[in-house]
Order: sequence, then structure tokens, then C-alpha cells
Amino acid sequence: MSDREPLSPIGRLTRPGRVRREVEDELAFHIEGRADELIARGWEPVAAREEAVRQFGSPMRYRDECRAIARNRMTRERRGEVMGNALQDIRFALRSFRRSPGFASVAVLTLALGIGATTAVFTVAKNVIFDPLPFADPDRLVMVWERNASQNIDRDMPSPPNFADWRRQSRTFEDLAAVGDGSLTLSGLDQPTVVEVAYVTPNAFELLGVEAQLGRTLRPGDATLLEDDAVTGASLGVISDGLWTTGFGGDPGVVGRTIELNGTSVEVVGVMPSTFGVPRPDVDLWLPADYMSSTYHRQSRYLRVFGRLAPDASVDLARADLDRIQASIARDFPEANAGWTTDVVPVQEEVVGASTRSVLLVLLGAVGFVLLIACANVANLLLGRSNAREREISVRTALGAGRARVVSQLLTESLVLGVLGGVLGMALAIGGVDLLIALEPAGLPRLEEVGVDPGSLAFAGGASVLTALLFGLVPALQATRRSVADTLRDSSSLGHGSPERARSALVVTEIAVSLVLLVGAGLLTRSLLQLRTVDPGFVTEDVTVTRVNLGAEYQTNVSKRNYFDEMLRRLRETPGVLAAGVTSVLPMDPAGIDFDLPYLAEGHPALPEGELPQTDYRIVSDGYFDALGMEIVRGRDFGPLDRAETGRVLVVNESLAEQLWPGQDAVGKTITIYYVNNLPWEVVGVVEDTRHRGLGAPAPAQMFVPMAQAEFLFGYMHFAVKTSGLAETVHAIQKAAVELDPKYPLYSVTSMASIMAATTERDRFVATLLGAFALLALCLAAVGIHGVVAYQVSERTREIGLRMALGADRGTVLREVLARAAAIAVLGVAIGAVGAAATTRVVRSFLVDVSPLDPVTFGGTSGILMLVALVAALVPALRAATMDPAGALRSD
Amino acid sequence: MAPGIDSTSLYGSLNLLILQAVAAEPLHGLAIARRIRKSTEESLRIEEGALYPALHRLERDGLLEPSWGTSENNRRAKYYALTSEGRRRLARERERWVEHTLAVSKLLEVGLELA
Repeated sequence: MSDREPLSPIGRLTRPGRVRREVEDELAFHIEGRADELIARGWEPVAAREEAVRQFGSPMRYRDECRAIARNRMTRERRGEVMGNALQDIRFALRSFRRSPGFASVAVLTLALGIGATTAVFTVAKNVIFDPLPFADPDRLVMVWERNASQNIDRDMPSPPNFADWRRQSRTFEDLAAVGDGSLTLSGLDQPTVVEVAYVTPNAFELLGVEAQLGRTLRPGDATLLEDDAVTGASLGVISDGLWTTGFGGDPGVVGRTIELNGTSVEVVGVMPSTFGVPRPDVDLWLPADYMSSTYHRQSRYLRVFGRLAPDASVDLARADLDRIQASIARDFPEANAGWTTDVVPVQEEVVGASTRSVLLVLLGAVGFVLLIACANVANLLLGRSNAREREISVRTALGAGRARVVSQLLTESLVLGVLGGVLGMALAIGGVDLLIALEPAGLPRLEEVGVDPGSLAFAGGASVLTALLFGLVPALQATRRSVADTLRDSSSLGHGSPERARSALVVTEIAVSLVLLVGAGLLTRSLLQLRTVDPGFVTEDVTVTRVNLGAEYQTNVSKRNYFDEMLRRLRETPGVLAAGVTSVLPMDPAGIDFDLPYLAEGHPALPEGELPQTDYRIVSDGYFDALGMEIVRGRDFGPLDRAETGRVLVVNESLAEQLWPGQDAVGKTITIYYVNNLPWEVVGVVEDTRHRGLGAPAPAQMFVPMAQAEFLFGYMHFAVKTSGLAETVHAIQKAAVELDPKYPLYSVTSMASIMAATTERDRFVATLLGAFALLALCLAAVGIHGVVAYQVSERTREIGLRMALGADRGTVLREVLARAAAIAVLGVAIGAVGAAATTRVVRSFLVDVSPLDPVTFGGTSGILMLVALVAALVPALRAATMDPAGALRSD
Repeated sequence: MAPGIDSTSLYGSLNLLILQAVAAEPLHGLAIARRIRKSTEESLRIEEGALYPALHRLERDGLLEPSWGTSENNRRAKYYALTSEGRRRLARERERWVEHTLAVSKLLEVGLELA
């Protein structure tokens, strides 16, 4: 081969047009060379060319192929370069963080707290509000309630015969299912335990579209038992994951085992997954029940009914359809159904009600604010750092790095911080979610489905990147703004306006946002404190409560009465017991048998039964009011003289007395209660009101009949026992029960104090979290203020030194620095107050007796924030005041 | 090179032939084609244009280094030289080819003399 001189190495980033030309040149050279050879051998030029092309093959095809390969090559090179740059930037960023570990650790920690807290709350919100319920096609599922506008009943549980008629006659449902509650004693394990039972129609699981995790669910065709009846032959049931773990140790052989429930044998055919919590998460066992049977009472309303809409039906159509059926039932059974219509509610709305949604969204908003403050702090940190690195950046720019390159390098630093913060934050979030679940905030539905999942990871990742861009972009642009000549010339930088203003603006924002959070937390706290001043109407100290669920052995009223009488007698003899009584439902306790009955009061117009007013109906023994410290304000309590054979007596509460006979003495008046029979009862006493529905709600009107005379006595009753406060008393109580009838132990031992606390649990949960976020925000804001003031002081070192040398005294300097800090704080508080005033209406639904614009809260939190701001500014201010003037003048 | 190798089995080895061709000195595409034709003793019958995608791929994959120069008849031509990675790959592939051929020849009980 002859001489060859490489003219230049081929530029690595050739443009497409150039590539095309080069490929064509290359191929043309080859073909012409071949043609020349042939000509040299004697071919005619034209024929030689044709032959060369023929030998070559299709030039266009090869040209296109080569161009595609070249393009491919360029893309690869470009990608490699970008990758190379990126890696270089990352390595550089890590190195510079290692050199200033203080800055890096503060930044990463701040971000981790912000991202972690936000991810934790987001996880809960997503799992509870946004994720679809764990059923097949959940938006076709609805719950059905009964309502009666004329009796002011907004929502009541349907009765079995009504459910059955709906199921048979509706045209808008694929199917309907019903669930009833109960509890049974499970024997055969270490000791007899009481388990929560759900009696379901066998089609329920198929309707919901859920599978068992082991074995099978109940199916249509499974033999059903009539609720509370003993069943001949074996029955079958499905257990919960909880019962499987605690009662059977997770033994996979549990399927097929037979267990004893209140004496009846039941075969376990399946285990439900832990995420299945229908109708409640604490259900241990599902048994098939036949609610279609005609043996039930149409007026006994206690079922939960849910259904799957037919493909072409809507909620409104379904409601109209069921209302039509209700009307025809009312024609045939007016006493039971006159005036009753239905309410059809999508299950999603039912499970995650508006109140849950607002709680979680408020918390999500609050934690979002915390993240914003964290970002502002990190942005401030970066601004401060970029100021110090100005020279380095200018030199780099002078040496040829384009502005875009430098900005991208600075952004890479921010991204590295963001990613590190995100990773650490994710770890914090996992811990946070576990903590939240462990707190078991009452009333938060679907808690069993909450857990960190890929969605949370994606959120944390996204948050890391977004926050990095948020806090990194402005400082990066900021740092490259000044021209090279300017910065190199400038030996001192006297607080150039823009960065300082930016930093102050950031801090003002932080303070404003912190105030909003503080006000929110403050309002909720104030509301809780208000609740504490409300008199519940009963004593909460040292009142132990427990319950029993008597079964088939106690069929008659007499047998139950005897049991309770004997039990009370033994309880009263137990050392430490001061008073004891029995009731069908305790105040504020959702676990009791709470229902109301129609009545006709003396002196009031008679009405057909379907139109009579209704009021809460309770069955209590003598000694009950004593045990709960409920005062009899007129007349007397029930006593041992009120027996089944003597005249029927009744106690009403103050509200009912006032409602029925305002200004008169209720004692001696008669009320006819429409229950099993329509019987008259004489009022012998008036008891003080209790806040039965919670401290925030007014006391409802109630009537109490004595256990000895109740027309129908339940086997499921609650004991209220006033004790002297000793722990042994509880054991003694349970022992007494076991001695009386070991088959029916007393269970769910708790106290009135706990029951009352449970009613404010949700509000306390929100207040606690909001308070924690506000505190976090306050700390971050304090750090921010400290940073800004310290920066200002360091920038003005020379100026301060000069003034002190000229005679200004330390006190003046201190005051000035603090004044500047106070100005920032005041501006922040003012903006924050306006913001808070606009946004606190969001928490209005949580507030009891407190206005969303409560001045005490606003004033108090503003004061706290100002104080914290001044304290945070104090350290750098003192440093300024105690500076050595000579040294300051010498500094740069 | 063993004689009488038919063209189809050589497509996979086209890269090898190219690398071998420029092992001694950088060549432009036409020269590479001539050298390959000569060494395979005219038994190689492929379209000459197929050489060029192969050359460009080798360049893309970093085995050949391109440069532009003037040819013997004073025309502008693109020359290809082996990179160090290309040299390594050539050595590896030669070894592998030899092993493969020996194994096959043993199998087929064909006596082979390899230079």
C-alpha cells in the first residue's frame, strides 16, 4: 500500500449531513477503484463502471446500512459522554460533601426527616383512601341501610325479613348479602376464649369476590345455622388470620379441624387473609346464617346488608328499586314498615367516610408543609455554600466549562443530596408507618391493609428528585449568574443584595408555614382541652366494666335473671367492690345493644304505632346507676322490691323528662312502651343525663327499665363495677364468674375511663400528629433563622468591627442584629397568620367549642414563634456583639 | 487459510478476515477487499459492498480506528487501523478458530495441517 497521511482524526461528534457525505465518499472511492482496475485491464470505462457496481452489490443499500450504523455509533458516544459527565459530577459531589461533612449531614438529615414523614403519611393515605378496596370490582359494591324520615331516623340497620324481600324482589342487584354480629365462647384451646363472630349469608364471600388464604370461603349451599340456635349435625365456619395465628399457632392443618362454639361443633373449612376485615377487622370467625328464613322479626333491625349492583344499575336506581319494595312491604306490614325507605351507599364511601378522608388529607397537607420547610432550609444551606464557592465556580467557568455544564454539576450535587435524603427518609418512613400502625388509631379504617409498598417507594423517589430540583435550581442558577470578571475582581462581598434577599425570603416563608401548622395544632389541642371540661354524666375513676354472652342454656328470661342476680350478689360480696350493676349498653360504648323503641307518654296524643316517637331503651339492674355514679335527681332508683310480679316501673333521664313533661314532675307519670307487648310503665325516678354519644354530642333522651321486669332480657349484657381501685379486684371478679358458670366467662375487661378515652381517640391522634409536625417545623424554622442571622453577621463582620471601633457599644450592636431578625420573624408571622386564617377552616369539623379563628390560639402561637425566632438569633447576635473589633477589621 | 472454504461459512468470520487484513498496516476498504480476495485465493465470493457495514460496525464497537488520508492515486480515502482492543480480539479469535477447526477435523477424521 502507498503513503497515507491521516489528515485529522475523525471528529467524534460529526453531524448527520457530514456522516452521509463521508459514507458516500467512502463507497464511491471503492467502486471507482475497482473500475480503474478493470479499465487498466482493457475494459471500456462505462462497462468497467457497471461491472464494478455489479461486483459491489447495491450501493444504496450498503450506504443506508452504513449510515444507520454511524448514527448508532454517534448516539452511543453521546450517551457515553453524558454518562461520563454524570459520573464525574457525582464523584465530585461526594468528594465535596466529604470535605464539608457538617453541611452534608445537616442537609441530608433535614431532607430525610421531611421526605420520611411525608412518605409515611402518604403511605397511610394511599392505602386507606386511594387504593381500591380488596374486593372484586369494588365500585359496584354498595351497602344498604333503612331510614325513616318521619321518625328522624337517618340510618338504621335492616331487618332480616326486609333483607330477604329485597333479595327476592329487587331488579337492580346481582345479589345481596347480610351480616349479623355476635360473640361465642370457643373451647378446645388452652382456655375458653370469647370470639367475635360474624353470621353471614353463605353468598357473602362470592359476592365480595374474596378468596381464603387457606382452605375455602363459605359458599352458597353450605348448611346454615339460625343465629343463636344450636344446630343439629356439624356446622362449618371460616376463621380469621388473627384467630389462626393466636389460637392455632398458624398451623396449616387447621383446615378440617373441629372446634366447639358454645357447645356446638363447627368444622373449620378455611382461613381468611389478614387484609380481610368485613364487617370489622376484629371478627374472628364467620358462620353461615340463613337470614332468608321467615322466623325473624321484621322490626328487629340489626343486620349489615351489602350488595353488588347489576351491570346496568346505578346507586340511585337501586335506591328507587328498594324503596319501591319497602313501600309494598309497608302495605302488608304497616306497624313494622310504615314510613321506612332505604339509603344505598357505595362501600368505598362507607368504609372510608368523609371524616377519615379529611383527617388524612389534613395530615398530608401538614406534612407537605414540613417538607417545604425542609426544602427551604436546604436551599438556604446551598445558597450559603455557593456563595463561598463563588470563586471556584468562576475559575471553572473561565477555564471553559459552559454555564450549562456548571449548573448541571451543581444540580447533580442537589440530586445526590436528594437521593441520600430520600434513602434515609425511606428507612424513617418504614419505621414511621410501623409506629402509626402500632398506635392503632381508632376509627382509621383499613389499617390492616397499610404497609410500605412499591407505591410508597415511588413516592419517596419522586419526592427526592422533585425536592432536589426545588431547592437546588435557584442556588445553582444564582451561583453562575455573576460574570467571571466581577467575582475575580471582588475581594470582599458585602452581602450582595440578591442572595441575601433570597435567603431572607426563604426564612420568612418557613416562619409563615410553621405558624400555620402551629395554629392548626393549637386549635385541635384547645378543642381537646375543652372536651375535658365537659361533664360526661358518670364517674370514670375506678369503674371496671366487662361483659358476658350467655348462650343456649339460658333460654328463658327467668334463667338469665337468676344468673345476673346471683352474679351481682357474688360481685357485691367480693372485697374491693363498692357497687355493681348490669346494663344492656354502657355510655359511649359501641359494643352494647343500643336501640330505641316507640312509646306513648302520658298526656301526649295517641298515634298509630308507625308514627310514634322513639327513644333510647336500656335495661339496667338496681345498683347500675350507683356503680356509674349517675345521680338520681328525682324519685328513686330501682330496688330489690321491683320484681316481675310487682308494678312495672321505669326511670327516665333528665332530657326525656324535660322533653315529655316540661316543668312538671315526671315521677308518677306513665309511659307505654311498644315492644314485645304494648305495656304501661310508671316513672319512679329521674336520673341525670349522660353524654351517651360522646362528649361532643348533646345528651340523648333515654329510658331505663329494670332487669327484673324487662319483657325480653338479653344474654349479652355488660357489668359495671365500682371498685376501690385495687388490681386484685379484677381477678376476683373474673373468678367469681368462672365459679358461677365456667362456660360463660366474663370478657373484654376494661374501664369506663378507657371507653371514654376511645371516643376522643381520633381527635387526639390528629392533634398529636399535627403537634409533632408543628414542632418539627418549628425546629427547622429555628435552624433556618439561626443560619440566616449567622450569615448576615459574618457578611457584615467588617462593617460591625468598624462601627465598634468608632465607638458603637456592644449593646447597640446586639439590639440591631436582633432587630433585623425580629423584622424577618414579624413578617413571617404576619404572613403566616393570614395564611392560617385562610386555611384553618379545613379543621373545623374536628373542633368542639373552638372557632377556627380563635384569637387565643393565634396570639399564643405567634408569641411562641417570635420567642423561638429571637432565641435562635441570639447566638449569632451575641457573637457579633462580643466580637473583637481589631480582628473584625482585618477579616475579609 | 484453508482452501475451498465456501462463502457462507465465512460471513461470521468476515470480521476476523478484516481484522487480520489490517493487522500489519492501516488500509482503506478497497485494499482490504483486495487482500481478502487474494488470501482466500479467489474462492471468496461475496458482494464487496457487504464489507462496509462490517467495517463500520467494527469501528462502532471500538475495534477499528478510522482516519482520512490520501490514497495512492491521490484520492481521499477512509483508512482503518487496528485499535489495541482490536488487536486483542484478533488474537483471541484466531486461537478460538484454530481450536474449533481442530476439533471439527478430528470429528470428521480429516487430517489437517495448520500453518
